[in-house]
Amino acid sequence: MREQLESENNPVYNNGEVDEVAFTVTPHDAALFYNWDIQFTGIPIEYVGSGINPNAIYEYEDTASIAAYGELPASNIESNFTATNELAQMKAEAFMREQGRLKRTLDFETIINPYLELDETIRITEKVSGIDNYFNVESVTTTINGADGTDSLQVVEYEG
Amino acid sequence: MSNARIVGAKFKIIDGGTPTVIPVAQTTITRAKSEPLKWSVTIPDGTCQYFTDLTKPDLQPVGTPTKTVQIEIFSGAATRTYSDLILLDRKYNADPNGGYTLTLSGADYSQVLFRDNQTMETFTSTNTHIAIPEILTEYGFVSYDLDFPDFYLMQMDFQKDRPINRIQTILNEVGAFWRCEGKRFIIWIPSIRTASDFHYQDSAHIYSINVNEQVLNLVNKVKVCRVTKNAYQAFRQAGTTCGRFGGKLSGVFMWLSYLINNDVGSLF
Repeated sequence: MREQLESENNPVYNNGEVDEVAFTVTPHDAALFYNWDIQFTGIPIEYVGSGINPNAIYEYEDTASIAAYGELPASNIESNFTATNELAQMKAEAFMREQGRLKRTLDFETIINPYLELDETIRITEKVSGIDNYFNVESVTTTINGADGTDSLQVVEYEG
Repeated sequence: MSNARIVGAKFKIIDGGTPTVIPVAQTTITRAKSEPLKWSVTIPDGTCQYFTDLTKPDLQPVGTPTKTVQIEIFSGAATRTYSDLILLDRKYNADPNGGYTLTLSGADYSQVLFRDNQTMETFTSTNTHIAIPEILTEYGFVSYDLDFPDFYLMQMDFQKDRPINRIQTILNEVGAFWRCEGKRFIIWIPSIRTASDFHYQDSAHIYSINVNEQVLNLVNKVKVCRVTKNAYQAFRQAGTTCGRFGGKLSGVFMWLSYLINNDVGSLF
């Protein structure tokens, strides 16, 4: 007798989607018996209940930009690790934030601020250039020469 | 350029638990998103006093370094200490005209995640908030901030690779970045904010400024999707049986019933 799998008695596993079933049936001993071989392809049983959506997809469109300049699509971003539509959306938005919607970068020298962290937002007000905006820190170089020193910052401004 | 604040740096090598303070002439520390901190100090050393085993680079191919560096910087009343830095490189320059200097440089502790040919057991059926701490703990980190949404990892191989590549693969899924603070690994996702942690204003804080505005590649559409969807064989079974229902071959396979509507081939 064939050994029963745990999944056969677990109603959770009845909900998996089957994409393709392939049969091979060959005659055996006239009309009384037949040999069979069955294959199920689709979502593996271990995916059920994992939260992974094997068809996860998200398409980001900047409708205002498309209306102004036409469609300028990036190559598709494909991965084995994108688990859900929500994560696909996060990845698309992160891509657009870093690649497609970067407004400007600033480099400036300033006094040393030991407390500044890379994950912080700073505001820069500079009346000659007219800049008064919020920026994310990309890099900080602190240089100390004797009793003198500066911070050199590179910051980016994302479009809101 | 003059600086109203008194600034300075204190450099220390800790070898086997014993700290040695070395006076430095110049200190440079560079921090960038998702990169190890880089540091460099220049030491006046006319007598070769510091060109000893103490300042010899000592990153072990396995395990954690026994020799670490600590740099304390101060600006006015504000201070900050960078700990668990790794010494990677040294140069001694003897120039009768330019002076005798020893230059030491290195990175922060995240450098251990850049070792080549590292292998860990394949991660299967686990979560990212479990896998990343496992990697970090394996390489000597003592704490971590995982400020990104957790998600399920069906399988992630880790063979003959750099640990940081495996971590970065996960972070790329959500657009997250990392930095290191001693042996603490910090992950975050940048946000567009309208509140600042620090305000830099005109000549009070800014000595010089360059503004770059570029649109090299305008992109306004992108599609993100999972790669492998249906290429798995969920189940396969073979056997010999008999059975007819309504004049056609039939049977029960696990929880699924199948019915062959048309017999093909030889009649039997």
